[in-house]
Amino acid sequence: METVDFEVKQLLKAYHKGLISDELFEAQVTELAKGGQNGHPQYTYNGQPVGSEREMIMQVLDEFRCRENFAAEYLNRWIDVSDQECARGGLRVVQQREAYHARILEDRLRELGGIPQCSVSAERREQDLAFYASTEKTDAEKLLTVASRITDPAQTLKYITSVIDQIQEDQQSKELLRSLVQDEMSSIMWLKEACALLNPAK
Amino acid sequence: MATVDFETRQLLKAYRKGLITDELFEAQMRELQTGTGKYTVNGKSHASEKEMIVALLDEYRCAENFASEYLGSWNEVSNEECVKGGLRVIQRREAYHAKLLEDRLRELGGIPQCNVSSEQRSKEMGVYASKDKTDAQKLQYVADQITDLPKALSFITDVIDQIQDDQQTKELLRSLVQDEESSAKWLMEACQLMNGAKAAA
Repeated sequence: METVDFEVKQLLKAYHKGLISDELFEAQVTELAKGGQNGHPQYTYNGQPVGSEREMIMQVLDEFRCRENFAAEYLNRWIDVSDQECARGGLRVVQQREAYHARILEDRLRELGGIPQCSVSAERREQDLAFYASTEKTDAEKLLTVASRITDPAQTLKYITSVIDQIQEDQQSKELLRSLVQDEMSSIMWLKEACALLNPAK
Repeated sequence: MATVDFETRQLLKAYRKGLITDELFEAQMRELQTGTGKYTVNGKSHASEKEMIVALLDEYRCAENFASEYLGSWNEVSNEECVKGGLRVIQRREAYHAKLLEDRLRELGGIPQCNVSSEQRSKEMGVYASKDKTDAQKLQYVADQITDLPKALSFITDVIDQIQDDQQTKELLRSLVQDEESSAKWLMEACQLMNGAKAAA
C-alpha cells in the first residue's frame, strides 16, 4: 500500500514537471489531506499525515501519556505547597487522574507494540516545575494561570478528539480515549470552578 | 459544648425578651430539632463531622476497592472491544479512588475496617466474572442498579452537604462524585449501545 509520503512525492514530481495544473495539484493535495484517495481512509495526527490508523493511535497514546505523566508530577509539587485546603482536595483527585491516565495509556501503547518515546523538554520541565512548586505564588495565582491556558477546552483536547473521530478499527483504544477525555473535562471543570472561587473579582 | 436543652432555653430566653425575630427563632429551632451538631451517614448518627467523614471514607473505599476487583474480572472475560476500552478506564478510576480514600482515612487517624460480605462478594463475582453472561447482559445488570443516579450517590453527597470544617475532604469527595457520574454515563451509554432500545426505556 502506498504511504501518504510516497503519494505526496509522486504528486510533487508531476507538478514540478508541469504535467498537472496548479488547480489539479491543489485538489489532489486536499484530497490526500482529507483522506479520500482510492476510498482508503487517510489519517492525520496534529495536522500531519500518518500511514495507518495504528500508527496514528500509537502517536496519540505516546504524546497523551507523556503529558499526563508530567502533569501528575507537577501537580504533586503543587499539592505539597498548596495554601488552600479546598484546592488541595481537588488537586489530589486531578493528580491521581493524570497518574492513572499515564499508566493506562502506556499499557495500551505497549499492547499495540509501541514503546514510550515522547519526553518533556528540559526547558519546559524546569519552567513548569518552578511555577507549580513555588511557595511564593498562591493557589489562586496558579489556578488563574492554568485557567487562562484552557479558555477553549474543546480546542485543548482536539489533538485527542480528532484521533477518536478517525478511529474505525481499534474500538478498544477509541473507547478508552473517549472515557479519558471525559476525565479531562471533569478536571478542567474543577480547575475553572476552583479558579472562580479563589479569584472572585477576576 | 452546649447541649440541645441548654441551647433551646437560651433561644427561648432571647425570643421571650424580643431580642430575635419570629423568623430567626423559628429557623434556629428547626435547626436544633433536625439535629445541629449531629451528623449522619446512611441514616446512622455520628457525634462529630470528623467521625462522619471517617465512616464515609471507609465505606466508600471498601465499595470502590471491590468495584475495581469485579470490573477487573469482567474486563478479563469481556468479548466486546469497545466495552473493554471503557471498562479499563472505569476499573482504574475505582482503583485510584480506593487508594485516595484510604490515604485520606489514614491521614484523619482512621483505619480501614469495612469489608464486603462473602455473600455479596460471591453474588457480584458470579455475575461479573461469568463467561456465560454477555457484556450486554452485565451492562443491563449495572444499569438497573443506577437508574436513579443521584439517589445511588446520595450516601456521599449527603455527607458533602454536611461538611463545614474539613474543606479538603469535602472537595476531594466532590471531585470523586464527578468521576462517578462519568462512569455511570459511560455505563448507561454502553448499555444502550449493546442492548438497543430496551436499555433506553
